[in-house]
Amino acid sequence: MSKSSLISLLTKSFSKEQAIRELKWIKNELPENKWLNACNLRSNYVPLQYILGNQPFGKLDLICREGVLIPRLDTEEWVIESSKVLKDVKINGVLDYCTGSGCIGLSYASELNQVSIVDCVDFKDDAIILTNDNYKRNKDSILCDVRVSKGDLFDSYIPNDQIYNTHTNNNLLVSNPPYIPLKDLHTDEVEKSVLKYEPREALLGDLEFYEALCENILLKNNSFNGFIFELGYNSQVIKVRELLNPEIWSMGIRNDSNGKLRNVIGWKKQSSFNVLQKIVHKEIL
Amino acid sequence: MFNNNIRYLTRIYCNNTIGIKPFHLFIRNNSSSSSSTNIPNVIINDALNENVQLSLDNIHQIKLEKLHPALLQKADSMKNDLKLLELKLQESSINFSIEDNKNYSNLSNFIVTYNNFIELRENYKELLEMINNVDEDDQLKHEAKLELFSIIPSFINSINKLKSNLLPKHPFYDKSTIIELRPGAGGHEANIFTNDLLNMYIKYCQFNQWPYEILSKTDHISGSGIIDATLQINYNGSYDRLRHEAGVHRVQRIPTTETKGRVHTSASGVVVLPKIDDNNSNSSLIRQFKPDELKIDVMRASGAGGQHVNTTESAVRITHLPTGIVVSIQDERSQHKNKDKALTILRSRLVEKELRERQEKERNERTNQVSSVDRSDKIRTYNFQQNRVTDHRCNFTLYDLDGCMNGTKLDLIIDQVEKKEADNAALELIKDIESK
Repeated sequence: MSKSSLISLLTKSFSKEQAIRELKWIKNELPENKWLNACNLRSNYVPLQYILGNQPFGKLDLICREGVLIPRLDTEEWVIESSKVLKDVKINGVLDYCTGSGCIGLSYASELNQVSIVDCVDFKDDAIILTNDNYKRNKDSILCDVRVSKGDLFDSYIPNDQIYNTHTNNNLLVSNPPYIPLKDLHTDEVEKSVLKYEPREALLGDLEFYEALCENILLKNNSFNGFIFELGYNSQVIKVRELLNPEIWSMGIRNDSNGKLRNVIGWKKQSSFNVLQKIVHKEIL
Repeated sequence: MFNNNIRYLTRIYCNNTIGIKPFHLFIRNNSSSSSSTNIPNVIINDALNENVQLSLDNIHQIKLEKLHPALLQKADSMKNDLKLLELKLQESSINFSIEDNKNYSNLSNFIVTYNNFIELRENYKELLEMINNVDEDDQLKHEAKLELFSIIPSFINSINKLKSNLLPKHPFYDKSTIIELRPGAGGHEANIFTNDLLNMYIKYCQFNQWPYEILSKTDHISGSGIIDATLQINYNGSYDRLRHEAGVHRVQRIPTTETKGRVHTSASGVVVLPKIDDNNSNSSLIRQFKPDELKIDVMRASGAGGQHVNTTESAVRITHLPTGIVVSIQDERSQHKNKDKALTILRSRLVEKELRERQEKERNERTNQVSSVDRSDKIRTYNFQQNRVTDHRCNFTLYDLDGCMNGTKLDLIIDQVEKKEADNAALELIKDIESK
């Protein structure tokens, strides 16, 4: 199979530059007998990460499988950025809700050495298995204890442990819950490849998730002194702000490097999580 | 000692990194030699840069390079410096600073070289006197010639070593290297030739057993040739050799894309940067950037981002605002690895730029004119029809194009460029010393 026919498969669906780039990665990572099939799949918009089976994320190399959301570059960006400011903060537990591939929790576990334990929680078996596999694959990079457990945010599930119900502990809640509202799911805003091949339950969601994160986790467990949520809409920011007491919590938003609203971040006043202020672009009152 | 009809090629190296390695000794068995003694034939480049075959008949007529008296004067003054330091050390070791210690060790090393040179020079002079003395008997003369024969290679070596020791070292002589390659004029053929050059440097690294890594490479859409490439060579000191490769490389050949058999001329630009180690423990020397000094762009499609899209576009473009230098890297699937690479290249470009500006300023102050070596000047021509590589800086032609392109003979060219640079530096040094 000559290169020009492989490349022409890809240029059918993508720009010339993207086609050249992706063909190089396909050739780098797959044996030659899989190139043609890979290009065929890719020209039908199958995500490159499912074809290659992995995605680099921070220090980690994460396995990607259908049924679980592919870690995004936008997510990697805020995880790395926040890790830099959290480096010297002593943290008892980091709870990563809706962990999916485990990208956020495992990445913190590889970046922060002042953390006692990272808990990765998801309601879906596929995600639990994948996160465990990713933990095993990256074990050499992990600096603290990691625990993967199955639980539902809407049942207020918390890993059964002293870590989260000891009031004096200093815990962090992070989450990238599904945040695309139904009305947007079938518009041009959502990429064809995402809609067709990535799990709907990792995409479709709105205010109810932020409500549950605040009410079921943050407010029920006084040990959480900081949080970082990924989101995509201002209404989701407003929801979080409404639910948390501004006397106790400082909050701010963070935009991604493309200038798009990407996070709502909060820390209890006077807590050591106030370093998060450094990555906030605008504080909200 | 030598097997029949087997050719030996012995290259005499200086141990020092900045070096003049001009004398190549070609030692081979000379089966036709009528000489009764069993000595090898030796061909050397003499001081006039001509190949001369050494034989017992002409051995005493070989013109060896004479070091300029000003250079020897400098060597003597260094010897004196060492004596003063030794005195200081004898008086009290407490006043001996770290700086003194460093000087002491450098000078001691130098004196070993210098003494070796003096010894060989005396030896050489005595032997010549014996040979030229009409009163000596022939047997003694013959013995003297034989001895002269055996010391000439070491003497040449010691001259070169001394000369390179006296010359200032390049400020980044101990650094590893980043090479950036870009096609110039010549269309698709230039893309192909740029890839050939990349392969040449890779093979050169393999030949030298230098670890290397392709930091970035963009293929031409046709599948042959490249749009750009960045090669990192992780070998300390490689920069001192490879910096001579910077400039425009020209190729003359019938391109594979040419249907009518015409010879085309195309070009590639090669930029060679010293790599400033960022994983070195000595991190205080690493240039840190202020937040407002850099503009970091990631290439993203317009749209909502986040969960809405799954982009594979991990390219990073860093603009250094004070200088306007732009580095883009898109090779890695990981955006932050691309960013790390781009920062490494940016640091290298900045130190190279600062060095170049400083050197130009110094040169202008000295000669009051702009340097004649322009970065856009072509430095070398690869002519495939004539199987030759000509370096225009030292007017040296190697008639072994394959040997050059597969990395094994590239050293022969770099040697000549180095020699030219060292000769020029020696002239400058002599001028400086004489004008004092």
